[in-house]
Amino acid sequence: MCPSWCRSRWLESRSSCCSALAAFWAGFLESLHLPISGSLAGVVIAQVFVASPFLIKTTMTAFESVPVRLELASRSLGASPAATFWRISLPLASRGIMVGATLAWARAISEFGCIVLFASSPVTAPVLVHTEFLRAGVSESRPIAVLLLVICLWVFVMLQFGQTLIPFALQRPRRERRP
Amino acid sequence: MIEIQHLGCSFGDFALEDVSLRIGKGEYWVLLGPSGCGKSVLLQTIAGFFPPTAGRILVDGRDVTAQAPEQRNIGLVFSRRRCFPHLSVRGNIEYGLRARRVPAAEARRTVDELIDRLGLAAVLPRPVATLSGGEAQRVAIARALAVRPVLLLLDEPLSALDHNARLELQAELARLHKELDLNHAARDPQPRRSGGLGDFLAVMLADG
Repeated sequence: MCPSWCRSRWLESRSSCCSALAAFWAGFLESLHLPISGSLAGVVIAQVFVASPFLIKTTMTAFESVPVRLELASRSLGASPAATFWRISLPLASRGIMVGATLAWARAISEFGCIVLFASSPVTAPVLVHTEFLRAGVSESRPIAVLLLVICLWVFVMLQFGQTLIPFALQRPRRERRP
Repeated sequence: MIEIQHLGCSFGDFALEDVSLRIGKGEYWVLLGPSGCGKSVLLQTIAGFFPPTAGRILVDGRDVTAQAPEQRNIGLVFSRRRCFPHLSVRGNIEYGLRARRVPAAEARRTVDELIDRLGLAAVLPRPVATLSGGEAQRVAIARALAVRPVLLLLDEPLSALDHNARLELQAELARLHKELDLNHAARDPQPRRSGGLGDFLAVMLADG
């Protein structure tokens, strides 16, 4: 088990690495005269940059967990590799992809460091918490922080519901056609 | 007629060598052999999932060795992970027909016929995840039969079933074989259990 100080050092180094990379890319795109820094596109790119590993990793795990035998059975029934992907692999991996997308979204909405360095405007909620804290103290920044907390809690609850509801929904038989 | 001529397949340390088999029309073969001798590999090579390193596979004189699995029209049923869990029982059975773009009316007629033949009407409204081993196996067999394969490969069709379900399915397979005049090749690791399953036995030997 990794000790807590080691984890915190790793997180710090990861965070500073992300920030440094973001600063590098911001500088690079600016040198190409692309108006990324300080634009909505910059915010989106920064959020995708920090959140995409969550989605990619969980999506990979979801596809790896699809039983190969089901894909083989599909192809032996006459479905092409593409049809097997759309009709078997993707539906069976969709639960994992949804979990990854939710985690990535939660990670993106809470991102602060990368956005401050890469595209500090338009202002996102974590940046607003920070600026309001610096401007007027805790009393002004608290409502925004509470709102963020509620959103994250709602996402967590939806994730739990989704995990229990989606498999049932997927397995629910379609209504039989009348002859 | 399905003819396997000097088939070989290898990957890593494993090698399947010089397998020859001729399955005539309407014949029911059972493949026996010790664990690890390559029975499953042989079935999956015939189905097209492993590229053979030697030999040929002929279906009615047509060389299908280089064809993709979906072009061979060879059915394959596994013992575990049999049914598509996100589809209904009917959705499972009609899957191959939809993949082959069979007209809806014809597909419905074929599926209804198989549901009657295999006694699956009672399990139609149930989610696939709640089916017993024998029921799921019957659904998987119906799904494979729906596309009228030239050869039906059954990988351990009776394993993972309790004694009664095994006997029932064994009788069911024999009846289907007679009624539909199918070519079957089933793989079973237990010779005692395979007694009465098919008409012909092929024994694979492990070397080394």
